[in-house]
Amino acid sequence: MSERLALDLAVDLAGLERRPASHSVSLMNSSEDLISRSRAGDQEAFRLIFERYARPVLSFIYDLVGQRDLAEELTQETFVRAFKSLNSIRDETKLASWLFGIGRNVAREAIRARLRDNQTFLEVGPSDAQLRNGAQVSPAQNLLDKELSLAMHNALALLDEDRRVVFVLKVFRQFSYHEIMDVTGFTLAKVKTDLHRARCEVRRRLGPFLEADR
Amino acid sequence: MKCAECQALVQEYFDGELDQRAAAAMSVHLESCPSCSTELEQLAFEQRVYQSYEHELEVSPALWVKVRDRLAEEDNGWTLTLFGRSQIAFSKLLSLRFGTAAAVAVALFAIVVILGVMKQQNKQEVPKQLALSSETLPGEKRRPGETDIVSKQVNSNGAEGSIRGPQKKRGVVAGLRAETVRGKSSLVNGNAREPKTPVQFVRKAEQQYLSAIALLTRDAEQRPSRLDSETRAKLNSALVAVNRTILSTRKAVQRNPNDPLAVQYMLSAYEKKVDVLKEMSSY
Repeated sequence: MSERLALDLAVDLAGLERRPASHSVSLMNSSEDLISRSRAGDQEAFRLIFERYARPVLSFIYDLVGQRDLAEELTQETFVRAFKSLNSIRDETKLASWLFGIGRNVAREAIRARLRDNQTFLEVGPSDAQLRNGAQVSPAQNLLDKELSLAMHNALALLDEDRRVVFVLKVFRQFSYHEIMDVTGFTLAKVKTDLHRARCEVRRRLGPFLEADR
Repeated sequence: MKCAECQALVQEYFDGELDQRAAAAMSVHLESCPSCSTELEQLAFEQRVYQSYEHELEVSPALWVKVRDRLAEEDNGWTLTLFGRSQIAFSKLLSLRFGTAAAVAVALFAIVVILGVMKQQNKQEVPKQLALSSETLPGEKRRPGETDIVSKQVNSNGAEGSIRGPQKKRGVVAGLRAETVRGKSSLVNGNAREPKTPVQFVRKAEQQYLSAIALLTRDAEQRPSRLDSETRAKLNSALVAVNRTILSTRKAVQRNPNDPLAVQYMLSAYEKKVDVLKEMSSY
């Protein structure tokens, strides 16, 4: 809530800083238009891309790495890399998949670096969203949500890296199989297999919880 | 279709990935097979449970600034305005390994310095009769160098009530009033208007409040478990109220950037938010 406001304020502040544009800028701008303008050095266009995709990319990376601070750092890296490689987009209509793909690579590198250093990268604990909303639900519901959140967080942490990314993209982000292929570079068969196995694993780990909830 | 085939395809059917013909065959089978339809129901039920998992994060206002600063620093054809460059310098200062309290102190110190400079500027630039025309600022007697932002004690009973006092941010307000009157007098005299330096100072103060708010928000959210639910609820509702006030006052300032009262209320609202967040962080 408070950060949402702060973001709004930051956006407004950026608006204060901006000079009047020669053409009107609207959130209805198409991805192709924003990419084309960003490539031409239009910083406002890239800021709009960031505004549109920062939240889903941040949440996606958080699902992969499980730590808010790290997820923010990796989101920052994702958008820096995205700006540097704007010329490499082959299909401008797939901006979301392209950004998620960069985010996935950045997260994977971080996970592997941490594994090399024998550090854990997924923390167990209530999510940021839960902490914010904790006061707005009944204590019983809050407890239930926290339990589910912890169980889900653990289940994600224990998934194999490939399965985790497929599960997150399908179940949380509702990406199609082909969009998941675009993000991950996996074959269709691997997407289906990993998704099936991930669902089975998560079902097994959340089993008692799912039964109780039903 | 046999059950084995159906079981193999049920995930794709549920995900909407089957072509029309295969989906139709599945539908027919599922209508007549309780075992297979149970599997489909299980997938649907699990999806509903997973959807209730709250994992969406809000984007910190500092994130875009960091991205922009890195692009500027790494020379990617990304150029910054003067305001942007000053923001980089400020964010670098904050990124030093200070504690949160120290960082907030630095931010507040910077605000004090800015307001001091503004006051000094106003002394030099504002004609005497303008300085005396502060009819809405009772009790204008102040010690030299005194600033309102750090010395004001905020009433903790609700966000909006506490920002109505006209005693705050006199430096900024006086600067803006002087700017407004200067504008009027220049119109009268037919002279070109001078640059709006007080407005720039207000923007900078606002940015620094924002940085302090971001730091305190992070700090407050890292330790909510120490708050009992009643206190947390009260603080959250105070935050909601103050957030609403900030939004409305910012809109007013955007509409009338030279309105001293709007600026005064807006900065008071920011200050109130800092106070509430400090209160949350103190538990």
